Amino acid sequence: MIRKKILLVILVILTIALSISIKSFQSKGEVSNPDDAVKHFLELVDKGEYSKVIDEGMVLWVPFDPLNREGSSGMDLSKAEEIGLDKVSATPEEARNFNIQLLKDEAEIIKHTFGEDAFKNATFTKERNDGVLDTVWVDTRTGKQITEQEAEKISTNFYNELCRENGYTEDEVNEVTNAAKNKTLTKALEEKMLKLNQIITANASKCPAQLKQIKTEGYTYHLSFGLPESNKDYHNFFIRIEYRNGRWVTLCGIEMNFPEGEPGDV
Amino acid sequence: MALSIIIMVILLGSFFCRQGVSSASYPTTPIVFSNISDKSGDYPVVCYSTTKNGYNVNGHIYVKFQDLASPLGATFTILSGPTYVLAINGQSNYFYSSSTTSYSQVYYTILDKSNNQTTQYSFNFPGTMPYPVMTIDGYPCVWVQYAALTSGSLIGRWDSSNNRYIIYHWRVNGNNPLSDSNTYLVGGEWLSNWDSNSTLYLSPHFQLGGYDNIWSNYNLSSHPDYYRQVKIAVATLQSMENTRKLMGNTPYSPSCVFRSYWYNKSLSGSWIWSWHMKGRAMDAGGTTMRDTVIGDIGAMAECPDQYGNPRFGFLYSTNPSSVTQWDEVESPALATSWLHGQRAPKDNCGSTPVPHCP
Repeated sequence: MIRKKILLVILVILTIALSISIKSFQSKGEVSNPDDAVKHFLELVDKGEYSKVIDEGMVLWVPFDPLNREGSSGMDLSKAEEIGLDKVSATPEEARNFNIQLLKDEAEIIKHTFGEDAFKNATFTKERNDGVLDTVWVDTRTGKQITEQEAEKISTNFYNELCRENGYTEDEVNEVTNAAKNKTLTKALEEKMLKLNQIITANASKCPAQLKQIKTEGYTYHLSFGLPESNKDYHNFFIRIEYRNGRWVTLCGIEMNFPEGEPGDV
Repeated sequence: MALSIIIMVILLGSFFCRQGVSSASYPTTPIVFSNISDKSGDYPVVCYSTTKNGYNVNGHIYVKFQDLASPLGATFTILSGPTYVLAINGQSNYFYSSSTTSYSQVYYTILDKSNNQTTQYSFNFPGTMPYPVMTIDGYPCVWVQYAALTSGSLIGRWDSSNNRYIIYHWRVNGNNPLSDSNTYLVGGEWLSNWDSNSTLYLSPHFQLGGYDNIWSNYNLSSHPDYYRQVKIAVATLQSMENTRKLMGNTPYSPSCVFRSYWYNKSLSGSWIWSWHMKGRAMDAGGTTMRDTVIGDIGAMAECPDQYGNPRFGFLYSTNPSSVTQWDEVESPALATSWLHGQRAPKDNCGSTPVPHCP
């Protein structure tokens, strides 16, 4: 009897531990179920836990800023645009704060427009959208997707062997590479580099590591805030979730387009 | 016994927790790849676009090499070192791990029809990026501004209103890049000692800058990065040489070859999809050169655009054996008193239409 009780306790503990470990396997920005992720997002925004949303990686980027608050995060964006470069002085921490502030402002507009319980009462419609393509490395010998590191290894081995077959030693190849890297190419080395380039270009399609575009399964969730006019045509408030490499990942957080002169347009 | 199992389970659980947590090194930022549309605003409207995730590295936007390659139709190769090679339109751009150095290499040949000699040319330049190649989340990444421009983009810029980076390139067409078999020479002030190459001969009789002004010598203070930008198809250079031969080997200097986006925009009456911005057009000479070339190519009719509408003012070649090999010229009906020649691929006169944004 006592043994049975001990076994039962162990079973319960194992079950709890297993569920904890499964949940813990979800890394930042990754969810096991897209519907649950959207519900979780709504709960956090409802409670005003904006930093938690960002820190959990749920909102990786907020592409549209209806308030047009350029530079509010301390980033010198106006200067960057003026000189046509992206020399924006933002640290990851500044970028995080910027996104938190952006999410907070936009969520508060929603709450102001549709009531404090807007996110509590929010519903969503789900739209299958597989139009996004991802670029991945594939080993053409097996047809399977490989990691960046595996691709690098396969690729360098292939081209090293190719250069050897064409009469270039590893030292010769390194000499050319280092000279180009250190800006010390002589005319002779430049010509050698051209020949190597021609060999590589002519055989690029034979390399077993090839980039391939693949379709990713994805969903777009359109949120509605309980009032008839808060449909997706009125407020384009959506969350995009995609299935990548066996995991659900939030790629885009939210996008809000407030038509000019409509509620929320400040 | 039970206690030891519990401890083991807890330890196992905490192990799983640690293994499961991973975090991106830097925040992600959308990078939009766009074709080129109107010239009504400061920048073209985004169209025929696709978006990839880049990284915001202390305010500098980085892109994975493979994400830059695919929308442009470029080839990405990894050599020992590792050395990263982005090859596009006959041009190989070399980048090196943790290095700010890059190397741009194009070899091409030009036939001088005046003496039937074929000469091999090189257009090789080292460049220095302000920020080095980095590995982020296991992916080799490069500062997008530099890599996009050196790969032949017309514009690369930070869109502060929408917190995104935009690359404008003629080959972008959503996720299916347009094909373009031309070899292009691409350059700008991002390459080392660029300004000192004014008198560099790109073909037997034509210089990069100097009297021939193949680069876009338009100094717009608000967009200094594009001063003396160039992108020119080898086919255009060949037709420039051929035109010289057609005109009895008489020297001439083109009045306009490549135009940067803002230079084209600054010209009243310029076409919003001008082939000068594609590096496949040249303006030169007067009515004599214009009419001689029209005769040479057997210029006929007007090509319709991608929507089937007649493109006012363009005549296309009906003579595959023409000396100049210009595919299209502007019609005298436009009241242009000079030669405006264009090279393939033709807009929609052939079997392969080249779409552009509305």
